[in-house]
Amino acid sequence: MTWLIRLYPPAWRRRYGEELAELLATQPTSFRTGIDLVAGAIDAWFNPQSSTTAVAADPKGTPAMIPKMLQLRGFGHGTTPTVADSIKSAAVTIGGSLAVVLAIWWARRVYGNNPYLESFAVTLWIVPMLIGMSFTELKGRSALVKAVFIGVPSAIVVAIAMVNAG
Amino acid sequence: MARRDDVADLEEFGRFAELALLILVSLADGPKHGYAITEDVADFAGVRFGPGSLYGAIARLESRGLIEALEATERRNPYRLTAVGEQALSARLASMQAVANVGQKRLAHA
Repeated sequence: MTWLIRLYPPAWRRRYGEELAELLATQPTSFRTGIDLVAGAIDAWFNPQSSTTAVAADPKGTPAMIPKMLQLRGFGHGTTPTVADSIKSAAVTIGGSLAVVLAIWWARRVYGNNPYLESFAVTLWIVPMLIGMSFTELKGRSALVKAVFIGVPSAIVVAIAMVNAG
Repeated sequence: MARRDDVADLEEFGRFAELALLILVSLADGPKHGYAITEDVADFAGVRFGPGSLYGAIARLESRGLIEALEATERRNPYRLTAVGEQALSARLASMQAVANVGQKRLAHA
């Protein structure tokens, strides 16, 4: 069962791996323990803790990019948003959605109806909502993490709209 | 109920909150390593959690300075409560006590 420890991030293994192996040696092997270890490994990848990231500077000097990228820490478990942050997020979401509506309304007047405008009209509102997350769920994350978690879903939304229109 | 913002809040631990509380209670009477914590919690709370969950909670507690590792002995790393951990545990237990008191009073009047 100790082979499951390999599923954990390297920095995590360097910090807790030996102890965990020692603990596993005292316990009977069971399916439940295996599931618990797999869940623990997933958690360790997605929620790196400073006790493990502090030792992330491994002897080879490999940059711990993936753990840093994954410092999303699960929605609701990052830096706690304040009321002001929530208001900013709501303002960006509502303001952005209105801007999208106005832009599509203007484009329809200028260019007339076409399938792309129809498709964007029903999907693009998601983009301002994703941007608004930078004040709440993504608060305190690096610019790179924000770019990935806002940019990638936004690109997917645009791609879906394009495919739908085509 | 007012929350003391100067005390670390175990609610921040999400699904690990209960586990973290049990670990803090276990360490309240002295340093213990992972196996000893597991056995102690099973004794006083009747809960036996998996090793992945245990170390998920330990990593969070250590990262927030509520517990600290002592020098390892035979591959086992004992942990002890820090002063911040004592404060957090004390605040959490007081909060639970207050809720328990209200509940018991209301049940008595029901």
